This record gives sequence, structure tokens and C-alpha cells, in this order.
Amino acid sequence: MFRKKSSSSTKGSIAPTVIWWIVVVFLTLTVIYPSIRLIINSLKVDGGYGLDNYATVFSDPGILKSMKNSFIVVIPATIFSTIIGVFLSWVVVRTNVPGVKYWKRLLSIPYFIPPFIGAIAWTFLLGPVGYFNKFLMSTFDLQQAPLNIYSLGGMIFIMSMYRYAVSFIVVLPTMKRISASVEEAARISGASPWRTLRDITLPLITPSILGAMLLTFMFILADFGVSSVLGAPNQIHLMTTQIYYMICNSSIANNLQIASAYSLFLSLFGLIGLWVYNKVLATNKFVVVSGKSAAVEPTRLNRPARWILFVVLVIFFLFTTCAPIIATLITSLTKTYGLPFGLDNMTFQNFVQMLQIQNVARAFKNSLFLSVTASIVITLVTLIISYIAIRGGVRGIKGIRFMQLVVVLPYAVPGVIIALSMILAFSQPIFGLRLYNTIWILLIAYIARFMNLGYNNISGAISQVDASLEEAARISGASQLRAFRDVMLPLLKNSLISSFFLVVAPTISELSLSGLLWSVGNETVGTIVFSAKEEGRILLTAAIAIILIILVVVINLLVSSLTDKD
Amino acid sequence: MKRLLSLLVCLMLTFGLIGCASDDQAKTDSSSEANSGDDASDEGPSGHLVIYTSEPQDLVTEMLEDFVSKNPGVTYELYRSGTGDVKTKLSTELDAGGTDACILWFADLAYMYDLDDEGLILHYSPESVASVPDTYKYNDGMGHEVRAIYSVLAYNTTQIDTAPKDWADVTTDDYTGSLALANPAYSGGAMTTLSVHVEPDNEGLVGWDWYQDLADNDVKMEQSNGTLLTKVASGEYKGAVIVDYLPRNAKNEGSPVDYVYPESGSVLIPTPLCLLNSMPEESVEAAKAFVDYMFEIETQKLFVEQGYVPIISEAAEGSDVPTIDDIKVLPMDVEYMRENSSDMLSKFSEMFGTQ
Repeated sequence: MFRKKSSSSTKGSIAPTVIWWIVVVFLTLTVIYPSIRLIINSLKVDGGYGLDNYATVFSDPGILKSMKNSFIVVIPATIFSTIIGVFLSWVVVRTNVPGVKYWKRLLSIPYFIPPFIGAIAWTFLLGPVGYFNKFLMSTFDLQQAPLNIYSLGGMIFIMSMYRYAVSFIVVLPTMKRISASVEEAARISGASPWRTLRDITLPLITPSILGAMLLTFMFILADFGVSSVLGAPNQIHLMTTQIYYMICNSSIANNLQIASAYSLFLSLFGLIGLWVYNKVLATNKFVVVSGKSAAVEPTRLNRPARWILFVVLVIFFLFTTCAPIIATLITSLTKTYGLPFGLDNMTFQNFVQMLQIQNVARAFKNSLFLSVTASIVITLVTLIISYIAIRGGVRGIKGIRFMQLVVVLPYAVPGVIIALSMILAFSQPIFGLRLYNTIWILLIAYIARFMNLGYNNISGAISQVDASLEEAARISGASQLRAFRDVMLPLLKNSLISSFFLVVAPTISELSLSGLLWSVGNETVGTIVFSAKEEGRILLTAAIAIILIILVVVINLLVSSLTDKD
Repeated sequence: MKRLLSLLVCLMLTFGLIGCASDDQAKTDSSSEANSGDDASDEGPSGHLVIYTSEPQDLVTEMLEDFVSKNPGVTYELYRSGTGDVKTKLSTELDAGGTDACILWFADLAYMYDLDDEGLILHYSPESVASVPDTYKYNDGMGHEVRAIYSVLAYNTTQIDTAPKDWADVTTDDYTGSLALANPAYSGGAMTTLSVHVEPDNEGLVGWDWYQDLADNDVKMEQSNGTLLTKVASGEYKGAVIVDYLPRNAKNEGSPVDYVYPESGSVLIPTPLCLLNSMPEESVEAAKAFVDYMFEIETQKLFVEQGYVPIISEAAEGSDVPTIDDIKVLPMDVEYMRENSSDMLSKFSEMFGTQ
């Protein structure tokens, strides 16, 4: 109550309004205008406009089947990923498990492995002739490979093993900032560590967990890499792969328009997720992060529990992270594919060959530039939008709800479709300016598509900070901007950094947008890896993948070691 | 906090600079090409070529660089992706008001015929193709094969002792659950293979019965030929229906893979090189020169080096690559493919059931 009154009655400076309008113009260019072109396209039928394409979406048996498959995969995978991610972040931040400092970095690595590379790596392990299956077959003397990852169950498993890192990264900063006094109080009153976790810690960080869950949900819903690699052999389609199937299938009349319609329908699920999330936030009060307590007192576990947890972490890490990377590394060092790996079948030639690909250095530079710039822009823009959305009250600002939708929408739409809308919007000059076939069209597409990652994360963090802190600053005479800069920003530091990483990782290896939008001089790493894979050059694909993984992990370590001082 | 901000700003600037630098570099590259074009004598074509292709990038770039060095007045831009992506980009551009593309080179003959029906294709037949068999030339100069690829049978030599000889040999128990095809919905080549296999003239040789046998034998699908090759080499699949140059190259590199041209006939996968009418007037000469260049013996030898069957057979001399005269090809009825592709695909997906 107080908050609302105070903010609407103060005379804000003009600056916030100006910043807001810059954001609006920016979003109009990057998201709204291309979306309109896409919606118009989805309504196109032979010689006119109509809803026929939407009718097809709800009647075509293949499409209906893919919806069903998506839900069979997405819901359990989201739940498993979130549970694993939240549990791990609790262990890492709020217990005294050995090696806490390192686990934070190590456990987030799966997020930085590009999805389709990760999926291929997993087939090296769990495919019909993968290492695990071979091991099981020889151990138990089996004729058939016991594990089949080319199934819905396989997708659920791989996505969970892989996407837990999303909620891990999102929940970690909030977990760090819970004031320890509440947990302490519970402990002093005699609650066990588990009881404290269940009754105190978890409820306190519900918004953050929900935010993480929503993000994981959208990640998995929008997944293309894992589902196309694992779904292909037995023709199992999820919604995204079904859309790609429509796009490729030009023998179907209006295939691109139907694919557009289906994508817009798919984006509805993202909106429903957002709506649920907002509802939960609105009906509950989660003033947890007072910002006043800096010291995190870990929950003290007894010795056996500490070491049991430690062993669990080690096994988990070896299995989910080391194994696929090592499998990829082995492939990248193989001389002749298909022969057993050993000293006589080992070479560095694949890395040499990589350097000989035309423009590979330029592709890496382009991807770095695109990814870092997109991450910074997204972090800034979503910080502004979510701050205004949650704190409200900057004068002259309207349409914040609409802008929230605008930010979330593109992530739920498959990348190919975003690329399509970019072509529709920008292939002809606008006001005499042509962005098409330049690096800027890629940047716009990246920003539009991945904005949601930053938004989700930052809005979750802001809603956890007690408004009284800023109010105190305002009462002491600070302007709104000043209060934001001096009070809010420092508290959000870790969430801003994690936003940056959330965007850096998927953009640096981005594939589906770049696939349609790159041009000579503006090639990206994703398109080069994918070409190599399509041409059957698996050894080369693995070599580029290894370099890419090293690159993102190094950026991760570099920036976090420079900034993470607390 | 300040430190964090300044770090971010530094990062942004650094990468911004790198980005600009690479931009500049690209610009100087092209402008130096343009300059050298100005310096060139009046002879030879000039103009800017935009090529959309699904061919391997390194190969195309190598050829274009070679072409440009011989024709200094010409500059080029290249877009390369899978056939599906290239078609999507082109159709969407045409929808949105026009395309920059001058030259198309990808594996969808039916689509090229569609474009030709709309009057978008520039017909051109170089003199050098006069002696090339009609199988490799389309619709009176609409487009040409510049090298040939065929659908063949590949198998893993550690798992298969007796090489298959014909299409029918891969429907046996040996291949249950471990033979794979490229999915015709994604792969233009697989679509052509399906159409040629089931068209009335070839019904007796292969036909829908063969596909039914595959379906009963739990055949697997992949989206691209590259993945098929990888999985045959690893032994995940014992055999695959695949384009010939991939297993040829893998075999030469020592992978446990071999391949056969089926006795009753292989399927030619058309990958026509076509020119678009909409290109600027000044590019037409350069585009035609590029078509001519493709049939020069040196260019044809480049194809042979990459494992492709050349269109000009003498380029294959002294290599292990066969010539077009060595390979028996199943006849292809383009009209049948164009009229029935939608029906064939629905029958196909019914038979193999998407899950």
C-alpha cells in the first residue's frame, strides 16, 4: 500500500520516462514489427486471408500427435530438472559440503554445452552402440542393447540431465541472499537440516523456484537439438520438430504458413506459463531478501552426511558432465571413425583441419561479438522492464503488461520461425535502410529470441527484494534513479551476472536463427558446426564442439572470477 | 558495482571493436575485389553474383575463389545451408518482395520446375554440355547437373559379411532394426529416391512393396545423409540408403564402410545449377560464365577430388571415381514426382508411422 502511494505521489525526474520510451522503440523494432509480419503470414491462404491454417493445426493427426508427445516429455523433464537444480543449489550454497567453491562452477557446465552437441555426445554414451550399452551388453552377456535413448523416455532423461543447470543457475543467487537469520531461528528451535530446507528455505525462495521452473519449461518446450537428434531414428516428433518438419515439407500446400500458425499456437504455452507465474507472485508475499544480511551461515551437516553428499555430487558430475565431454573429446581425437579408439587411431589432425575451414576464425569472432553484445543489451533492457513492471510507478509509463508479453513471446517460438519473421520484416529496405544480410539482423534476432532468459531471471530476483530498502533511500532524499542505482543494483549484482551467462551460452552456439540469416562475412560458429555434421564429418564436428565448449567455460570462469568477490 | 559495470563496458567495447574490425575486414575484402575488378581489362564478365546452395561450403568457396581469380571483375556472396533452409529462405524472400539470389544450386528439381513455371528461371545452355546425356540436363537449359550423385547402398564391413547386390538384399533379417534411410520429408535426395522407386515404370524393380518390407523390418530414419554415414561407420546401423560420395570418401579414409551401386539401377539425385531471371542485368554475363566454368575440365577434376562423379567423364581418369557411363540409373519421371510428391509423402508417413 505504502509503496504504491509513495511512488505515484513523488515527482519523478524525466529520465525514467525517456529510458522507457527508448526501450519501447527498441522492442517495436526487434519484436513487435516482426511478430506482426508473422501473424499476417499465418493468416495467408491461397489468394486471401483466413483461419484455415489454424484449422489445419487442430486437425492434422501428425500435429496433434506431436502436441501429445511434447507434453509427455516436457512436463516430467521440467519437474525433474527443477528438483535436481534446486537441490544442488541448496547443497552448494547452504551446506558445508566439501569443495563448495568449485561445485558452483562445475555443476553449471552442462548449460554451456550446445544442445545438439550435447545430444550427439549422449548418443556416443547411450546409443545402441554407445559405451554404456556396450559395457552393459558385455557385463550381462546381452544380445540386444538394453537402453534405448531414441524414445520419449530417453528424451526426458537426457533433457533432465542437461537442463537442471538452468534452475541451478537461476536459483543460486537467490539462495545466496536469503538472510541466514530465518534458517538459524529454525535450527535453534530444534529443526533438522532437512526440516529447515523443507519448511523454511524452500517456501522462502518459491518465486525464484517458480521462475526457474518456468524458464526450464520454456527451454525444454523450445528444445530442438535434443529432440531432433533423439527423435529422428524412430520418427518421434515433438512440437518444435514437427514445425521444422512442416517447414521442410514443401509438398504440403501453404507449409510455411501452417508452420507459422503452429508456432504462434506453441507460444501460447509460454504465455500461460507466464500468467501462472504472475498469479502466484501476486497472491503471495515473498519478502525474503532483506539485503541486510551478508553472511551466509551454512547449514551444518554431520560428517557422514557431508561426505555422502560429496560422493553424490562427484558421481553426478562425472556422469552428467564429464562423460559426454570425454566422449566428444575422444571422437575429436579419433583418426578413423568407426575403428576402436586407441593410440594407433589417434590424431590432432581434426583440430588442424578445423583451422583450415574457410573463415572459421571470423565465425568465432562473429559469434563472440553477437553473443556478448546480445547478452549485455538483454540484461539492460530486461532489467529496466522488470524493474518498472514490479516496482511500477514511474510516471508516464503505460503498457508494461503488454511489454512483458512481448519480451516472453519469441522464446516459445522455434528459432526457424523467428528467422522467418525476420526475413519477412527486414528483407526489403525500411526507410531506405537495409539490415538484411548484415550482422545486425543476426543481432536483432538473437536479442528478440533470448530476451526472455534475462527477463525471467531478473524479474524473479527483483520481486524478492524488499521494497522498504529503496523506500528508505527515497525518504532520505534520494531520487528514484539514485535509489535504484545505489540500493537495487548492488543487490541484483549476482542475478545480473547470471542473466548475462544465461544468454551468452545459447547465443554463442546459436543455430536455428543463424541457419537462415547468416551471410558471407557474418557466418557464426553454429552454422559451421552444423554444416560439418550435415556433411557427415563427425570428427571435425567433435573438434569444433570441443573448442566451443572450452571457449564458453573459459568466459564463464573469467567473468565470474573477476566479479564474484562475495 | 562500479568495477562490474566498467568490466561490462570494457567487454562490450572490446567485442564491439572486434565486431567492427571483422566487419571492416569483410568490407575491405569485398572492396579490394571490387577494386581489382576496376583494374581488370575490358575482357571477361563483371558483376556481383549471389549464390544460394546446399553444397558443402568448402567446395563451393574453393570454386568461387578460383572462378573469381580467373574473372577479376566478378564479386560474389554465398548463402549455404541444408536444402530445406535454402528453400525456406528463398520462398520467404520471394513472398516478401524479391530475392538477391542470382544462382541456385541445391537438391530439389521439382522446386526448380515450379520456379520455371512461374517464369523465374533464366534458361541457358553452354556449348560444352552438348555431348552430355539428356538425363543430366533439364527442360531445355533450365538447369544442369554439374556433377552427379546417386542413391546407393552402403554397409558396415565389420557387421556385414556378404555385400548386398541390389535393393531387395537389404530387406532381409540381417538388417532388422539396423537399416536406415534419409527421411524424404527433410531430404530432397530421399524424396527423389522415393519417387523414382515407386513411379509406375520402376514399380516392378523396387516399388512400394520394397518400402513395405522395410517398414516391416523396423527401418530407421535420419534427417541427413551425413548422420547416416556417421552411424553406419560407428556400426549403429549395419546399412543405409545413402548418396554415393559419402561412403566413398569414408572408405578412402579407412572407415569400415563400403557401398554398392544396385544392379537394377541407382537413383540419380538431381542437384541442378539454375540461374534466376530477376538478377541485375550486369550480373547475367558473370552468371553464364560461372555455368561455363563448371564444365571446364579443371573444375570437373575438383569434383573428382571430392569424391563426386564428374559430368565430363575424362575428369575421372586415374581416380577410383566411376564415370556416368559406368553407372546404371533408374529412369526418372519428373512430372510424376511433381504431381504426386504430396501423396507419396503421406503414404510414406502412413506406412512408417510417425510416433
